[in-house]
Amino acid sequence: MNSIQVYHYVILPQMFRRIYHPMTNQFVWSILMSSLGILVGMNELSGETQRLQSTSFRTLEFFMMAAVMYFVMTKLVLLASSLIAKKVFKGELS
Amino acid sequence: MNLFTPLSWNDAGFILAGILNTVYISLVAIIIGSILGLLVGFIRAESNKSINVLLGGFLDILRSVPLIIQLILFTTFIGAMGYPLNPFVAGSIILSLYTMAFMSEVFRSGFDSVPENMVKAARSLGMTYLQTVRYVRVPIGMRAVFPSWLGVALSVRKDSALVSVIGYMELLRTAEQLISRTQQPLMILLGVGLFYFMISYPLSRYGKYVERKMEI
Repeated sequence: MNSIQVYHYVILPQMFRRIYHPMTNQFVWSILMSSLGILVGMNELSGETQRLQSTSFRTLEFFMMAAVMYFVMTKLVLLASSLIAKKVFKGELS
Repeated sequence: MNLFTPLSWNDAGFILAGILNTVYISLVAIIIGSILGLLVGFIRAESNKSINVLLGGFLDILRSVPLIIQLILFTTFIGAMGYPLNPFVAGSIILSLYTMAFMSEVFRSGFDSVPENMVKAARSLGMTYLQTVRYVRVPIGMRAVFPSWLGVALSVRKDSALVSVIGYMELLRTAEQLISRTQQPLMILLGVGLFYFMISYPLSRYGKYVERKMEI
């Protein structure tokens, strides 16, 4: 095998098996940390919630819904990642 | 005419108060969170499946809702219920719970890492159940997870900056107030960043050192 084949058939498959779970954890982490956009006035989920809250003064309801949305989002990402893992790695995750 | 008062040495006390508040709330959160995390981790390592699913679900909510949302939600909730707490108390409650959620996982893996045979040997030497916990499982299990405990503690110290959103006067909020007076954001934020770096860098190096020492 030449070096490209070595990477394609040997190194990369093993590497992805090893890093798959830490990688999905990082994905979830970056979704959660995107909520920090609230501090700089970005209009992602929390920032938009903050903006709506400041016009309607229904802080509790809006942030409750935002919390539920974040929870559902992380669960969806985890579900998708486990489905992909089943499909791609066929249960041979380390 | 100069509209802004530039940064002067008189602000040092103000910044120092912010630094002390940051250290204070981080220490409170780390200590309470570790104690609760140890308890919850022990319960999770010991108990059967149904309790584990229940506790795990609760901890899962704490872990998969961003801290900033939890803080805002909690303060508005207790405010709406009619018992407004001061920002320090509310912030340390949420920060401790958040720390607990991560610590319990760390400690549970610590308890699981103690070999079953060792516990059985301790029991057969005539130790009571509590003695095996006190003298065998806690010391051995906790030693194994010390580096990851340190990692969680450091990330909590960084997360403590978010308590500024509910109005606790910690370093970030102090810096923001100074910025709005002096209009020198770059210098102040660089200083604040340097302070956070100076605390966490030596500690994380120490964690790496301990980790390396334990591998050998």
